Amino acid sequence: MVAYFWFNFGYNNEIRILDDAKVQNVRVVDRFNNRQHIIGTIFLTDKHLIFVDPEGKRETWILHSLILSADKLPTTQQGCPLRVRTKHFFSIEFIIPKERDCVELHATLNQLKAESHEKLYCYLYQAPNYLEKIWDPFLLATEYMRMGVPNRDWKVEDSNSNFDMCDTYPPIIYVPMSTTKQMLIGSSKFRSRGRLPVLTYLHPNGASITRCSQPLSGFSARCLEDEQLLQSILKTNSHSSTMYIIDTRPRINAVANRAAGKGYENEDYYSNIQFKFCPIENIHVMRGSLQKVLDACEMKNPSMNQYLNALDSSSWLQHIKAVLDAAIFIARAIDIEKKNVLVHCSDGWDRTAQCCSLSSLLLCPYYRSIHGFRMLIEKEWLSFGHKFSDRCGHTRTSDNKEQSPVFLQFVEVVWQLTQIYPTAFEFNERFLISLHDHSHSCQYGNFVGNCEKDRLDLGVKERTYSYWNYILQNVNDFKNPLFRPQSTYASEVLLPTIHSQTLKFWMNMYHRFDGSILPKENIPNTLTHLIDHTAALNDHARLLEKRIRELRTILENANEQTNHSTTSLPEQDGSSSETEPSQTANKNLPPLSLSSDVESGINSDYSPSDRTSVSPPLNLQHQSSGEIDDIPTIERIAFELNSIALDWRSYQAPLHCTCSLPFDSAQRKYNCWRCGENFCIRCIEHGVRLPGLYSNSLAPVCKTCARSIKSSLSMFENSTPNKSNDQKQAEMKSSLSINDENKI
Amino acid sequence: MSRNFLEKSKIYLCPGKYCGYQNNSTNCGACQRGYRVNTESICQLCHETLSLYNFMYIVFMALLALSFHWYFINRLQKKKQREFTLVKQTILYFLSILEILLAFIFTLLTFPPIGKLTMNVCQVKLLSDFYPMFHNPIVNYRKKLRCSYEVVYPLQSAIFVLYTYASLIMLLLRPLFVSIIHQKFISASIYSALHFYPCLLILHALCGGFIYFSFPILTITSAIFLNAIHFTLIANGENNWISFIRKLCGNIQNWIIYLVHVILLLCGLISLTQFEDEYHLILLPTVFLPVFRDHLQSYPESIVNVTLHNVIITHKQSDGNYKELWIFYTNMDAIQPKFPMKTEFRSQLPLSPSMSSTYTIIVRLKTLETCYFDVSVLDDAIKLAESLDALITYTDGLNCDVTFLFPFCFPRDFEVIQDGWTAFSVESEFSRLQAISDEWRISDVNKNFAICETYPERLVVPKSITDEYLKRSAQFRSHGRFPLLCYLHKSSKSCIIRCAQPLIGSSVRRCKEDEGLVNAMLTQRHKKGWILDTRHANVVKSAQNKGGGCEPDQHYALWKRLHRHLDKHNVLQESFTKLMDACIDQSEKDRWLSKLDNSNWLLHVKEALTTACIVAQTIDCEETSVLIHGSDGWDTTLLVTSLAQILLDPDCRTITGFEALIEREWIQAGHPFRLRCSRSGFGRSTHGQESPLFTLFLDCTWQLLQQFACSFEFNDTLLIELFQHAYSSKFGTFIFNNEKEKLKYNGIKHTVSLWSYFNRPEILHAFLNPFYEPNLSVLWPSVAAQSIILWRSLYLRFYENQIPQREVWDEYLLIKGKEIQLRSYVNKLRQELLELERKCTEKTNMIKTEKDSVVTI
Repeated sequence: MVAYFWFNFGYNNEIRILDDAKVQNVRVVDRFNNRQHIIGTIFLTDKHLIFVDPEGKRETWILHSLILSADKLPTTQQGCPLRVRTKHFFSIEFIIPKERDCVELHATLNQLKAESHEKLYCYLYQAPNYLEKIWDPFLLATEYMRMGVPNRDWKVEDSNSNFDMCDTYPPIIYVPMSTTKQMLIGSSKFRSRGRLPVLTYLHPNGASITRCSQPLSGFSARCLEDEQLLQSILKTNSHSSTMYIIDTRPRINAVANRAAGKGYENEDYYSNIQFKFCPIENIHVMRGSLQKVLDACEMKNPSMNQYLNALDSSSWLQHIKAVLDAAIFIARAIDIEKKNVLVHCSDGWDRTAQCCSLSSLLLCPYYRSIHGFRMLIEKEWLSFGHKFSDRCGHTRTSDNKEQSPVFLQFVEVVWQLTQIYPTAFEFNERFLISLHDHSHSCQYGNFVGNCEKDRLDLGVKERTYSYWNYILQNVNDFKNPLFRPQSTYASEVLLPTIHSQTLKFWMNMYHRFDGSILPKENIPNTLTHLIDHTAALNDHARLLEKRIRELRTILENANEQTNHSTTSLPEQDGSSSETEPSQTANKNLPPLSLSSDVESGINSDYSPSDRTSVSPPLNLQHQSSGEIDDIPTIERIAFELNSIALDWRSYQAPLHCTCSLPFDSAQRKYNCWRCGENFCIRCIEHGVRLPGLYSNSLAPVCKTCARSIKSSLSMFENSTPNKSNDQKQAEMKSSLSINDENKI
Repeated sequence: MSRNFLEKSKIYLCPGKYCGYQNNSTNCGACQRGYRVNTESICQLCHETLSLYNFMYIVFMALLALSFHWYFINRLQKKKQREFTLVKQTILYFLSILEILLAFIFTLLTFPPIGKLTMNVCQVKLLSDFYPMFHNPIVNYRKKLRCSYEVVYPLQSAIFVLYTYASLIMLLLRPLFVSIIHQKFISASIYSALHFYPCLLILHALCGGFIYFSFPILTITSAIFLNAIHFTLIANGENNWISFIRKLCGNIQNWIIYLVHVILLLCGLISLTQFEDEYHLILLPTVFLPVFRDHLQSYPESIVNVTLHNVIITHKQSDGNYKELWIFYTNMDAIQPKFPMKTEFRSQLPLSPSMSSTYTIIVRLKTLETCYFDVSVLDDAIKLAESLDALITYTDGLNCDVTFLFPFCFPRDFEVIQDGWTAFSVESEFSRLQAISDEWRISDVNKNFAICETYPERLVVPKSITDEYLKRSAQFRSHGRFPLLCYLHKSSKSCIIRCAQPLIGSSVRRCKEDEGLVNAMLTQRHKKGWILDTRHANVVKSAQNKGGGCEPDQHYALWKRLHRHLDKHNVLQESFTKLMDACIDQSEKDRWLSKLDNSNWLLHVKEALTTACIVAQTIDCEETSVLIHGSDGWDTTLLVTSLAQILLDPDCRTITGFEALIEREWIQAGHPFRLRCSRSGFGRSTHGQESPLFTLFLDCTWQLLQQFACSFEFNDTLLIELFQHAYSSKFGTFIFNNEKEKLKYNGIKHTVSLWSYFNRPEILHAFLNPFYEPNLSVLWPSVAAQSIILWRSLYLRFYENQIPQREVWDEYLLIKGKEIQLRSYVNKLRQELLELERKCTEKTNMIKTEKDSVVTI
């Protein structure tokens, strides 16, 4: 649990513990085992609430910006319970012996929540060194260019560059070629909050998805410009004479909106449209439903029936299905019926964002890669103004009624799709969870604010770190090892058949902090472990091949030298200072050419491709002058061999990290590439260059190994090693014996 | 949908056997002629073509009349021998044959289909079908519903018509021959016929049903008897053989009589065998051009052949070759015909384009798959459905011979590497046991299944206990299932023991030998044990009244008792049926989760796992032995003991170990597989003994596999395969109820063991878990409600396409393989590098010394 927090939320050594913010003898009850109590101490820092359990050596870190609520429950005999719930579904109940402490803690916690956007965590956050405040610029234009826009049907329109037409839209928008400025302005005035129909996705077959908000039609109002705009959208697609307008609200909600002067397009006024309602409930229903799910998850030792009943009554999965169904409907309309689709809900930033992004995801394989998925989120959610700050409740002042798990639903639907098509997505579950968490944590500036304009005003790009940068730096953690772009099963366009039975409950999202009920051993983690190990071995093997090549050239050269008794030879470091132990052996030396033939014969068994490069026609002088620095010495090779572990400790085996932190299934274990042991995130250093790797890339290494690597590296660089031959031999032997042991 | 429809109509079933709704009428009553009531109380047009047996019945009745004719013609000859010449007699004989033949043909032509030499017949099921007037129901003890009509139409009326025709033709035909035959002979023959025809008619009206069911036997016996009598009459007065034979051969009449008798005998035999054979269950052997489909693909224009063991679907592939699909009746669970009978009925099948003209038969398989037959002809569809239904009921029935089942006909089509029948013998298990403790021996006390029918012949018992003790103990236990060791824990030496309930009864009998036996199994260190009863305390009490019960504390002082109720039989079956009902339900209205909740299946899984965990905890942590029993000790007991072993014993988590566990704890322990697996999630059998206990066991194992993905050598493919083979298999492993039955039918010789099939590298490959790392510790799974999840890959296999899963496993294998390969490659490279390095050093040194020497020179 602990490591998980660090992993996600930047463990920082510089902790500033607030004055007097320390409560001792706090008891925490294990939900699944009532008899077991953990007694520990709560510390408060300016960023975290930390609960330390000295006996179990566990620490629980809770980021203040993630705290959803801290409730003081009625006092009992044992003390005053304080329940802290976080936005990423962690719930803990502290029982504080003194009521006064509890009240104070409660008040402090509430105070520590950022009161305005200016005080959000992203402005305080100090990332590790490898992350820089670089914002890889996202250009909406590049993404549209990829889809082939602008083309003869669609054009760029920059009339929103000052956000004066619609303040929640990006500065540039894409509209049909035949539109005029007047049409756009007219349409934007007719649409709620000025969100006029604009292009979001263009399918290769010419069908497109456009999005907007509800028209201010009421019962009879009409707007000719809007009708013209829709006509021109229809005309962009030559395959079909009609287009779909999808209202993602239930019909009754849409009708109710009509009474308030909003509503939906009147089919009498708009010709050639097909109207369809996709009943996705509004944010308030979704919020209630999620609350019921969380209540079900938090039940103390429920019976099977209670638990299923609670899940059922939440209807969460039904809502998920509704979203997915709508997305599949749109994808079908686009891909099979080849019709244009216009999607809107009330304001066009919640359900519309869900449906548009999901149907794009189904339609285009590009969006299923990590980079493409980022583009999708940037485009559909960030550019088109999903109100992250309001929906996630980033600040203390934000309205509770505006909060809703809209983005969570999107993430969950993507997860459901990854379950149906395990090989179609480049990213894994961890990525989705991290995405959800960081949309709430405000650690990175990406999800701060309600729209592009907000983020510009807040200056997030200058003052905060980018989440995508963090993902790119740790991309191996988020890759799905099963990803195959050309899968035999999943075609380019995914059109799954969804029954209510198909949808699973996302245990790893909602139960991820309940280590005791999650599977003890799971395949995805083991798989990552295997993939990492393969990567390490692969890299190492390439270095070994290179070294073998080098040595063989040296041997051949040396051979030539002996034949022609030339004068100079590549001097090896340290060899000059050595005294020759035996002279008699030289006379009986077997002809080297023979031995090298034998060697190369062995070599050809497994790396025949390298044979050509093994013996390049080498000029001796060139060799001695050019590559003299790179010639491997025994020490160097032994050092290189020692720097990579051949076998890794089984992923399952250790229950504790060396720092005595107990592992549980939720957290990721890291293998030190040098010693092969498992470590928690705190005990591993990520950016170490190992000499045993060909690619010279950064590898995770445990702290002990990192220290020894650094010291020996410096030793290599500064002084030529003065080891005797015996020592070298011993070292070589030891490395060999390590191999042997490993083999056993 | 179809289910709902059936249930709806069942509510309004008519009273009485033969009352039904006529087309569109709202009142129950007699059906019209040519109609017959079906199971849903609707009068259905009879469509069955004349079966051989029915045909033979009419032939028999015709022959009866013919024989009477001949008899009287014969008598004429005896009376007026001189004038009545052989020629005249023969003409009369032939005349009578002609009359009857013509009458027979006319009869066939008369009945529908009119003008064809066949008839449509209502199926005769029971004797009472001939006498419906005795089965008129009295509604509410007041009003008698008159539902008599000709149920067996036209078998009854056909005979009347036949005889009428015969007499009419006779009256027309015979007078024409007056000139050849004398008038007095003609009139005599006609008079006699006019006498016996009414007699025959009355006989038929009264005893038609009896004759129908007994005519083959009647024919055979009468043929034999008459023949015998005839020969006796000829032989009468003859003393020597030669003159008798001469007399016999000389008269052509004797030959004819003999021939007629032989034909009669043959007819009888044919009818008799026809009736007894299972082939009569097949009403329609071949259906042409239906569309057969399952949830993945459809096979249009296939040919469906109904054979004795299976339905063979032959369909033409795209490349022009024919491919056969076999579906065994033992694999069929329920037949749900879905005929659009009413106008409001709309087809709502998956994959089915709205084809209103086809009649779909949904076949639910025991392996939880579904397939559909779309037949375009209603008659064919009905016949197909009825044949399948009859065959399923037959193969699942208690009186169906095991040797009739497919495993007995299945030829082994692969090479056996290791014979599965002998792979897991008592001896091999015992040798494993001996490594842990030497306090046990193998006993032959159950030789020839003398003391317990459901145990194997050789058993492992404590060394200190004699066979006499075992016999006594067996008498004290239900079904002779005395306490038996099933697992000995390595570290604590505590053991799991299973048995059946003790027969203490209400008088609380005791058996000192049983107590001694049980106590002998306790460990030396901890002289205490737990008795785990898988029944609720109340159930135990009621069992006690019936002679069973649970060990009383006062007699088993070293043992503490614990009740953990686990449902079985009907409750479990019902739960499974509900689960499958929820799984196949595709309507949007009903909430899937609440249906899942209602089925209680996950609750059963949770309870079983919890009980197993309690046992494991007792064995491993408290180091005390556990004795487990329910009522008979072959259902829930086995569930608990086997699950506990998976938790405790790392060997059971390997493929061979798991097979051994199933062989030991389920098959040899006498779980009645044939009864329990006779139906799975959709149908109900006639005997009501089915129960998905083994499925529950596999599900629990899957839950463990889910939580400890790397501790098992196998993946869930093995579990699914086992599930399938338990319900329907071409192997003999799961088709017997116990070891005795296996021996009785010589199953080892005649069938192939599933393990022989499994334990071959090419099959085993699919079961391997690439992430397996032997985990020697005891597994402690989470049994919280949140951790118990539905086994989708089995129960929802009907929906979920398995292809991505398979692809994923292949990928896993690939990744693992790559890692292993790379590791050995790196190791090789390292060795080589060091070797090179060594040579290099030597070389350098050598050159250096050479240089040095040059310098010195």
